[in-house]
Amino acid sequence: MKLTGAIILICAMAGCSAPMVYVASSKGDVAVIDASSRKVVATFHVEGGPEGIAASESRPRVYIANFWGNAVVGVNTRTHKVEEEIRCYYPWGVAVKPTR
Amino acid sequence: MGAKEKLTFLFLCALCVSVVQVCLGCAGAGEVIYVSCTPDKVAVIDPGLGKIISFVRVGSRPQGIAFTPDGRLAFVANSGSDSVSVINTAKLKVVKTIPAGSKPCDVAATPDGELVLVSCFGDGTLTVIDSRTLESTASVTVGEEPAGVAVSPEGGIAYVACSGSGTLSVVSTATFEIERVIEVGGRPMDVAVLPDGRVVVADGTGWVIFLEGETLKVAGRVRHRNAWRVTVK
Repeated sequence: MKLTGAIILICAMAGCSAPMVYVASSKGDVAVIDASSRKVVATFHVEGGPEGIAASESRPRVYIANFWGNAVVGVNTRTHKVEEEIRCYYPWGVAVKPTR
Repeated sequence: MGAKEKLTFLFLCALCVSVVQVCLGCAGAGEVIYVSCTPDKVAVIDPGLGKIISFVRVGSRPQGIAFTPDGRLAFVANSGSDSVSVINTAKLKVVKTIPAGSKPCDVAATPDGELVLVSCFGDGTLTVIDSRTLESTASVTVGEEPAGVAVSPEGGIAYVACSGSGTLSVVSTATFEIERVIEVGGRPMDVAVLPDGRVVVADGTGWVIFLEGETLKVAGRVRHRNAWRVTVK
């Protein structure tokens, strides 16, 4: 029991937790869904009509391009708060450059 | 080494990884994102610094972007000029503009980086590009108004969310033939694939649909009003 708990804790700390699905609505509501249980574990809101969404490989971030908001935001996937906002003109697609 | 020591060692390793991850998260880790911007540019951004590093001029009304897995090339769907711009990411220059179907919308690369698949909203096709020759090698007719496209983890299947026909087209990347058409309903706008092969569809109306990897049977639906774009982390 203790060993299982310890392994789960270690896995969580090392970032090998179960994948999460991020779904942005056209109105800016984002649901975070645990892929294993298919339960919504968190929700948050971004302004301006998401058109693109991409997940970081190396950072705890999901990037969302908000077309009407003229900005791309970086949302912290631990706190679900917008931590970065970069202004750009009617952004649509967003992709993270692989670092491999 | 006893069980306790092994556990302590693993715990310390995980702690180190966590500390590194937090540091990378704060500092930006040099991560770069590409964002398509109206009317004809891609912004190259260091999100950690909150700065646009550069702009690259592409075709008209750029939408979806995908990189080859090595990050060497970026492919940008130009919905207003029926083409795909290929950016050399080291030089930040367009090295080729490839004709595509009508209103190219989204882009995905296979895990081996050999193929790039482009959904073309205007004519219901999937343009296939060879990433070595940078030529279009095939055009596959899928459903109506294809939007999001994603590739299975082993690269053999492309999934295309066809918003106009309420379907998910399953395309073989070996033969470029439609293997199956899944009726998902709604107006599917985007699709993503989980590492275990399960498929997630944002149906554009009010549902997120989970499909089993091999059977593609609906495993579950999650209510989310106007589910529009989807990604996996």
